[in-house]
Amino acid sequence: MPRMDNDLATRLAPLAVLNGRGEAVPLGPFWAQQPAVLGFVRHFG
Amino acid sequence: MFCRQQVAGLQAARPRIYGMGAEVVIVGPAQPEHIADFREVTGYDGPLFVDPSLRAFSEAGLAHGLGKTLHPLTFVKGFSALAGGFRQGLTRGDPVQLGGTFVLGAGPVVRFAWRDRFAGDLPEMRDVLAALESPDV
Repeated sequence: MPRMDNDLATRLAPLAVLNGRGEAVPLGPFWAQQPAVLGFVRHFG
Repeated sequence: MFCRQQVAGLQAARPRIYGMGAEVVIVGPAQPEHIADFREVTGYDGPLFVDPSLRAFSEAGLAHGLGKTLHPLTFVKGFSALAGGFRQGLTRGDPVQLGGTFVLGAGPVVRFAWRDRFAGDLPEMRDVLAALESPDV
């Protein structure tokens, strides 16, 4: 795993994504207390 | 097509992932209004979000650009996806943004990191599950 990944969970945690209503949802809570598989997909198609 | 294949893999693995006490979160480079249709075509009913700013994609170190998207193996992977029953729908979102798969947590832990090198370059699900089964690092 590249060295840049060491703090990836910390760097992604404060970022917010949008739900279907356009509301901002922070990513960090998804893996704060439990592991999470985070999948980034290319596009919706 | 590859996005549907990626989501189908995660959807199929969700019972095992949940059984290990983990969550599945999917993020796409599209707009909020695209989420409902994508749920419908994929059948995925877990956490699904969009990142139209691409900030999370960028922070994750995911590649972007036409030159990084197309690769000879993309076509090989495309035929394989088609044979698996996946079809290409209307593209919604950034067509030259590549994806990735990460296993994070609990807390500031990175168990697995995969960045697609080209369109269709998805990780093996067994490797994702193995990362979840490994002790905290």
